[in-house]
Amino acid sequence: MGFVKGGATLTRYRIFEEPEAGLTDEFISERLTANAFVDIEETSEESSQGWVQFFDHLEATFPPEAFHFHPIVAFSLRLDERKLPNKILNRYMAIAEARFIAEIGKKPNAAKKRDMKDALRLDLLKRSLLDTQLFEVIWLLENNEVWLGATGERNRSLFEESWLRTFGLGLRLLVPVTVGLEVLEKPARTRLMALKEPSFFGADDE
Amino acid sequence: MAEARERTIDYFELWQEKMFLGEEFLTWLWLCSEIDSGFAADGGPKVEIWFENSLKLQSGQGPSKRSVTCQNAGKENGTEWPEAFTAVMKNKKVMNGRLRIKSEEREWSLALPADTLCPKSAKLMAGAEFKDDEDGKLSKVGALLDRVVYYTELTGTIEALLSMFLKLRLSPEWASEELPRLRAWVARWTREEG
Repeated sequence: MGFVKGGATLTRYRIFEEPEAGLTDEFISERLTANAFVDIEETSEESSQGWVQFFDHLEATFPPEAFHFHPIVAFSLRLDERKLPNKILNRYMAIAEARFIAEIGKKPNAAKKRDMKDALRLDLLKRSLLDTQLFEVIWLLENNEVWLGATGERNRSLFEESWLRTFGLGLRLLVPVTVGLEVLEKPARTRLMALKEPSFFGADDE
Repeated sequence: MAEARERTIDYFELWQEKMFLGEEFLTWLWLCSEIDSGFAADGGPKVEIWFENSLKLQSGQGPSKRSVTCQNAGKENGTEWPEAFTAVMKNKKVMNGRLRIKSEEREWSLALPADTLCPKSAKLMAGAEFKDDEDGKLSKVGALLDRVVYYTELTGTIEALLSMFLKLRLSPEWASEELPRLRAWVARWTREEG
């Protein structure tokens, strides 16, 4: 599912700030590059998060032709995670402790157990498969609107934090009340802000 | 950056405070789709709406929350949504639904949650005209730009419907005309079902 294939899911934002030096390809390229995705395939890092090209999720360089498709800018947020369940770590730890006792003839002390567990964690993380998530982002330049190809609080937070860290431009979620504040005339906007009581459609309420 | 974050959070609080707007809008949209033959927002093209398989309705928040999912029952008894009318009579509102939106030549199928009104699993069912490039194939950038146009039309249609609802909701006619009209329709189907 995504903006190009299948059914699309999107969360809408309005950008309510502009870069001080103006919005240019150089600004976007520099910020995306500074917060680009770093591959952790050959490491034991638990997670990595950053920007990749929209049409090539393995590529984290940003020449303008890779993100600026007039009248939009498009890129993706990539999140790679390794998950190591405690149950598995504890099972391997029990095996390691048994081997230690067989070799040394006594139980490892607390400090030794901590060292053994840290080493095991790194070893198991390196051997575990990465889970990759991709979040497509479309920036509609003409109306300062951004679409995130995902919904849900966790995904929104992940994207909003990455966006703010990268561009420093405030985002306003486009939901019923914020859309209302954009499309209504001032008297209606004032009434909207004052509206507190929901209506009910059942005939025997209130 | 911290200031931008704080300002974003301001909107988050406003969103939470006015969460009922999306629920009222979806309930209004569903009821009007049952009663009226279509919508014409601000002189724009006529928009036809119909809800498909299921409707999720809810009342209350937090621990007092009560929700029900109603399936489309077919038109055998005069309405496709007998359980949903009963739920609305008990002051539940539509929280989520899968619907079709037809505007001019385009027809969409999508799920619409009341909290954000952001389309989920939106598919263009009719009216797509994909332009080929010189090789007779749709380039990936061309395909993306085409879809951006279509999704812009879809979000614009939803926004126009929301604007139409909000203008009515914030006018004196809401309490004097529209709400009594919708309540009478709900009461009619609830009585006939009961």
